[in-house]
Amino acid sequence: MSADPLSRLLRRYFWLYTAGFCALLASLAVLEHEGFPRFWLGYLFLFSTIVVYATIGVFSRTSDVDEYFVAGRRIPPVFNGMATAADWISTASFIGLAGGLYLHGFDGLAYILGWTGGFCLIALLIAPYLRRLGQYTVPDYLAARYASSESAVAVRTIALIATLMISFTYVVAQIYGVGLITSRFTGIDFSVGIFLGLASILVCSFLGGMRAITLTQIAQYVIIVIAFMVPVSWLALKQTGIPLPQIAYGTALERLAKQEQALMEKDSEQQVRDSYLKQARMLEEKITELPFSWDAGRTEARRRLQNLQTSNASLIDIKAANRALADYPKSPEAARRLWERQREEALVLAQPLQPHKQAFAGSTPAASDIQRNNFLALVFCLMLGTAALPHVLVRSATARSVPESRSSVFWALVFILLLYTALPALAVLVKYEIMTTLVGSDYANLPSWVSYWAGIDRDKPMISVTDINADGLVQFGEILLDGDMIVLATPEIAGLPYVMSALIAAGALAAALSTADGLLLTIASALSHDTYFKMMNPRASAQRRVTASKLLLLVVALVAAYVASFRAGDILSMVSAAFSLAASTLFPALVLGIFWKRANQQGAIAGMLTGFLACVIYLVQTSPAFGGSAANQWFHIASVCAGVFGVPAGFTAMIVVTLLTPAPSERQLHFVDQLRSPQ
Amino acid sequence: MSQQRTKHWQWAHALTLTLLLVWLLTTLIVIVFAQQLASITIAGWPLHYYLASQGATLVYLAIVGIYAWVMQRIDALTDDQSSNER
Repeated sequence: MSADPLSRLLRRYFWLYTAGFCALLASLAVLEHEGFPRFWLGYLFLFSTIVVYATIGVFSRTSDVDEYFVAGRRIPPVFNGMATAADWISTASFIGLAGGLYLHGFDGLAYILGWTGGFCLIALLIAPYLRRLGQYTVPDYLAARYASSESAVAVRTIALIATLMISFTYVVAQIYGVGLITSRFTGIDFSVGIFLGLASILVCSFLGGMRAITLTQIAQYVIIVIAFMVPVSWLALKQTGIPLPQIAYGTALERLAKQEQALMEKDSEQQVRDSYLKQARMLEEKITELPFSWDAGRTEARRRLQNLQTSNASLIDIKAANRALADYPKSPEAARRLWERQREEALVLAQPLQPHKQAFAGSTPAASDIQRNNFLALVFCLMLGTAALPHVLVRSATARSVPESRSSVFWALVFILLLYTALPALAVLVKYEIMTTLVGSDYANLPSWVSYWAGIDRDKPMISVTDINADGLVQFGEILLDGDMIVLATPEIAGLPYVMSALIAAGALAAALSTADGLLLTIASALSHDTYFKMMNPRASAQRRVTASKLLLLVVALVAAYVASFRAGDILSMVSAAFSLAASTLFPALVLGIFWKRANQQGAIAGMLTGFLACVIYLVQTSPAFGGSAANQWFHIASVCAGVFGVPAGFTAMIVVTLLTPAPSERQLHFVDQLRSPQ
Repeated sequence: MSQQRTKHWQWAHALTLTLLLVWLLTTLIVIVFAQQLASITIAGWPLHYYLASQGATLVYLAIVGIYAWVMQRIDALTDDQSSNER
């Protein structure tokens, strides 16, 4: 370890801070034990972490260009790795991943593989070269590599648009997550939560740019990891007697399999599945009898309401009937869509329980092969997408030197794996806990967390437990839950003290804020550096550029928060699409630029455009969220994996067009040599 | 000097390709043969589940670690040689 003053200073603050956080945690635990109200405990925890981030943000304010855009290029590898890890671990990782693993078992592991394997590509193919060139942004790098003359407007513009689209969808999802967490744990309104979160993002990044963000991200990583590991280790200790979840869940997996087997053989579970099947058949009938069934249904709903009104029924019943009529599909076409979706859902629920460890479950070998191909395609898209995400790549620019940019990717992966190896453990442990404690319990006394999580959003409940076979006991098939609640509700499900719930909320908030910070700065610097400085006003002073970036950051943040406040439900599918988009558009140009000297500007333009278009067209054609239909799929590949077609299209177009156009100039060839040289 | 550079690049290139191959094989084997590996259980772990949830990611970590370490060696080696020539 080097002993330069900055490293020593960072290390000292780091340990002081970590100790301080542990002390805070311990004192809150004591407070809870003494009977301090839970409500205030949650407030105290969330707000004290935000105050810490704000303090770091204010103290590291800067207006120096290098400090603002790349943290002065002097962050030591271990800390740079830690900041990259916090940058990387988003709400999707912290909240979504464990939920996906809980719901899909083995098939959810595609995200673990894809999101870690991508770092191999970053380390081997991109990060060191990006650092050597010493640019500020990804479009900047591509423009410098492919510029035939002084300007490279086309390359820069396309890369810029791709960067903006990718980062913007991603940041909207993060701000959405912030709103969700703050509203859940403090009881304030969702949209207020969004703007509160926004304020805390801004205090970190507004004044200090990359320098402030890097330091805050280090602080946030500590909270993320403690918030995740403490409750999970506790749960592992409780269930298996081993406090290390990564090791403990081997035995837990075995016990889970036994429990699943036992549940599979129960008659009551079969009854629940049968009634789902019946429901699906009924919907099927209604769909075939359209449009008459739609008309009949509407008349029936109206009559019910009238009957209730004339018979002086209770207000609640009348309200419910009124809502049912208002929610009734507006046209036979709408009815078909709704009923088909409901039928699909019922059919899924009617399937027998899939064992957690079952890989690529399918009723036939062919269906199972489709599952496997999709798994492979998803891993491929996530890996290549990871290696082309601008906000992660720009992190290599904050390293001190080329060798350190390589080791900082290594450290980033170490810190990411600390969390990612524990995520599948959490899913297994929670599933076992639910299967043994909630399943089989009496409907008269359900645990309090069930009603709490069901009541947070009445329109779209996170969990619903209904006694379908009317035997008064909870069956596994009767529990419908949203994967997003798994991590946040873990402490309650496992019966841990409330301070653990607050801790995990603080961790989730840190994950969302750290990623949002990095993304916002990426967008703002792409706009201020690439658009304003490089394309509009090349004579702008350094001071002006930083000021422009600060203003743009504010604007982008407000726009993102505004978009997030619509609560578009399809944000998660948009984020997955962002990976395919990044892979298809940027990956070929980034990699060929270094490893193929012959690659030229025309090729890069063609490659980026073709990759982008191929990916977008496949997405629009096949994703219901964008108005397409799954029937248009090629080789049964889901729309999330559009990159499987986009990336080869991009590579092919780039290679073909490059070979058809003149070789790059002497100056460009020399430039590639520079990139590849050791110093 | 330029000869040194070429050599450095050749080594770096070879290392990159080798490690990429390891990366690709690991990923493919873990996914394509998952169902075949499922029958093997080691210390309570179904092998396919262990590989996909921890094993492969540890291989990825090793790849990045080896790359950083060996590249540093290659950098140092070419550095020595070029200073010897001078």
